Amino acid sequence: MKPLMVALCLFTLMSCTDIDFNQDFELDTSEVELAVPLFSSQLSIPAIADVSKINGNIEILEDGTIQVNYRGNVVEQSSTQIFPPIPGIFDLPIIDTVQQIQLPANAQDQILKAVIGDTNIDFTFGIDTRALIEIEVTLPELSKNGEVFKKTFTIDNRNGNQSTISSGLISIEDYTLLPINNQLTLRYQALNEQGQRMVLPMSTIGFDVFTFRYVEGIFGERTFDINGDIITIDLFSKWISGGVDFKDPKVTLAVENSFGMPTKSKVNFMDIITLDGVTLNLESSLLSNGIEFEYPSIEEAGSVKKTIVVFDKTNSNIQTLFSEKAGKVSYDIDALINEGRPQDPGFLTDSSYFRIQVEVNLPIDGKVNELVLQETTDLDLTSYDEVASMELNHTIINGFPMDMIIQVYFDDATGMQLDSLYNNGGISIEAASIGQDGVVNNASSIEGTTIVDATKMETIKNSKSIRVRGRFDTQLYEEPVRLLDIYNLDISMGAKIKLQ
Amino acid sequence: MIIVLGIWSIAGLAQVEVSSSDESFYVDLDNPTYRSTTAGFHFMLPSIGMRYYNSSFTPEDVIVSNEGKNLVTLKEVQDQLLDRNTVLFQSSLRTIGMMWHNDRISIGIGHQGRWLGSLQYTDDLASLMTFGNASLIGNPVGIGTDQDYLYYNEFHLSGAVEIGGWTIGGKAKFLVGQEFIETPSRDISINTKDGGYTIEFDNDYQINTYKVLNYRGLNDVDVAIEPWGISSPFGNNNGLAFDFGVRGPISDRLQVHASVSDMGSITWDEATTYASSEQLSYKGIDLLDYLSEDGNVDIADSLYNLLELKESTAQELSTGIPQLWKLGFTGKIGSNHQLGSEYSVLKHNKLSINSLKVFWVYDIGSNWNGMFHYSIVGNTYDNIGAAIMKRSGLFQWHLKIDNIIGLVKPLDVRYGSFNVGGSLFFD
Repeated sequence: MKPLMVALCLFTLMSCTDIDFNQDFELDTSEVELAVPLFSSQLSIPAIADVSKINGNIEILEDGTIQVNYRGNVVEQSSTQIFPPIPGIFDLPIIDTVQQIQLPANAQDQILKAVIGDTNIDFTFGIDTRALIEIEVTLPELSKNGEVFKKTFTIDNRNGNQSTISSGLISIEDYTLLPINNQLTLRYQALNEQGQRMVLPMSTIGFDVFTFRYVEGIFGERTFDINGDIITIDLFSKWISGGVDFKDPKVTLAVENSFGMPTKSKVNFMDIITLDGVTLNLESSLLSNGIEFEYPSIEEAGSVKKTIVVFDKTNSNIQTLFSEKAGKVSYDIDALINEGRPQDPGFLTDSSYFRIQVEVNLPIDGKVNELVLQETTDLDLTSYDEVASMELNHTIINGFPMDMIIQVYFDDATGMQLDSLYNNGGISIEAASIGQDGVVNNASSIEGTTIVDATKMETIKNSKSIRVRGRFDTQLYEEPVRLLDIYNLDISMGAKIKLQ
Repeated sequence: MIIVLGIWSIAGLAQVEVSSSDESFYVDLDNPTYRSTTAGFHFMLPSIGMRYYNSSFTPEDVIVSNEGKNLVTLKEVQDQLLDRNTVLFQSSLRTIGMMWHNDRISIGIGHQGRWLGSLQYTDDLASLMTFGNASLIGNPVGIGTDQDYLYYNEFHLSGAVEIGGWTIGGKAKFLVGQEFIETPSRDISINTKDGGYTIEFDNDYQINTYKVLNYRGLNDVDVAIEPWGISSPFGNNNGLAFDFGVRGPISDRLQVHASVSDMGSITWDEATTYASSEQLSYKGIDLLDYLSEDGNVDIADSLYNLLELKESTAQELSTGIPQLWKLGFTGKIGSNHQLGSEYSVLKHNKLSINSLKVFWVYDIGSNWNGMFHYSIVGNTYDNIGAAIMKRSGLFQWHLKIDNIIGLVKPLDVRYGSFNVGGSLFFD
């Protein structure tokens, strides 16, 4: 505006005016009153869960009941973790033409049959005379497609320049091994130019990494140490007071097993940790007795067997535990293999695994007893300095079968409450009514106006955070109420805003 | 209906040329029929003209000093506002021109830079800005504005011929567009509903621009005008325009003249178009958006996003230039006086300003000429102006002001204009 005024003065070649161009120009908003829609939303539990970034996911059950599921991390043990590849560090000396070689297996395990993985072996032979030697090596327990492993080598040291020979790496991948007492027989025949047999003064056999594709045998008892996990239940992270009685909370243990051997759970602990930090033990005969997990038979090698175990109010104290402010589920589970059955044959493959996932299932079906939730957000109203006062109009339609009271608090930087938005403790909204079928048949609604005068407005402008506190209660109804995905809270608010 | 009468004077009457009032009638320099009464060359030196018009208030009406600040308020002028109000700035800068005259024919060439900027707004928009929309709840109001700005260079060839006492003249103009903004569609209706104050928009709005408007969103708009960028008088935005005029005596002492100027257009090589043609409803922010954005949702931003204009590029976009239509009469009184009147209309897009002027031209003697005039321009009625012209040897200069009150209180007038320039005559 100022350049415009200056231009006008130049325009007329004069500067005679009452306007002081040294002063700033400002639009007069003293009588401006804006009517602004602040927000309008249709809030359902799935919609809120979708945007509120809770850890859990929402599942709508067949009857429309909302269930919040929290899944723990997948914990897994694979065959390579249980039977790790064995590196061949040193070559084994071959002392005689027939020698038993011990397989690199645990003493408690008896290998009956194995299919070799990506494994290479090598041989070294040496002589101390000037001669031509033909060598034939055989491993009778190692065969592929019906042919026994057999290799021939030649040492030509007639000129004294080749006293040793090394075979280099020889792959035995996919060879079938049928050991006896975890041992493998090695035979060799060394013939000189005259056809005479001889024992070589220096012979060795070595391997790079011993791996199996498939192992069948009798495995000793062992414990799979499967790391535990903590599942955070953040559905009630804003929980201030009151309680929720869930009608049927569950913890589900899902196990996948492709090891072909009997496996049983050993639950070291499964606890509920409340928001107050109190640890409560989940008690169930399933935990104390152990759970036998399904496993594939030898004929089913390569398949995966699943076991689902559900801890609910019929077999545990879980309902009681979740009536508290459950914040976390912590567990540590091991797997016991062949416990008490060491003579049963079993198998494993290089892709065998044991996988456990724990899931907490909370169907929102129960009683809410003066549950108070609170959300706090930083507030910065410095850009609204021109707002002098407000008149807020709200319309709320409650489609949930629970009474609600909503209040908004304004706090200073230390969290000290400066003021609240509504008088008389907040806006009170009656519960929607429920029909015979337990489903809401009539929503309740309220409309109202709230005056934020200049004094309160100044207080609000000075606040640094805003707390929205909601109190929810279903005690109107004796029976537990289900919260369905179709229930909404329609809330809209507009403001008439007077500027300074 | 407001009858708007007045005079168009920036490039017209402002440049008063009265060659010899005892022999000829007054005619302004830019009239297509202009001819010097003496043969020879006529070099037009640089001249400048500027004009300001506000249909509804003066700057001092709306600027109040308050606590060390100049408060701009429309409170006190609400009753003065028209249904549709106009603010206009117009100017021209003649860099050079040359004419040759003999006893029957005149031909000439010349160049001018020409500018027009206008804003037309509704009284409802003014009310909205002054009192907010709370007072308009339940009443749909139109708040669409017309913005026009045009800057172009004009290179013209002119010719006039006198036949039987009547002079017929015309100009052919080659136009080079520099920058523009126009509003071919201007309808924006806003309706604030009762209750939650849902705001409904019914838009049929379009802005075309070349260079002027840099739009990155409703809350991020730059308007960049380079009004004196005549250093590059040529470019890719070209057009043609024509002036036609005729004047002649209807008696020994009475002359009539009529003309139409600037019938033409400029084709812009590549213009940008911003448009919104839809019905929109704003109910405030969605709390779900608020939750998903961790509270980083602003009401103003969400409203701006809703009202976002769609940008497109228009190749070879043609726009008109401001036209001027005139009809006037001039009568001689004695040997030194002329009385006349002229009715004119300025038209550009949806802008239309009518003017009526009555004037008295007096040959003072010693090569001095003076003129007093009264103008009704649009709906302004208090415009008393004066002009003076002096010839000294080859050199002639002139100065004209359309509103003398503006000399004393320049910010307390709704209309004003001035023109100053000179010429060299080799006759």
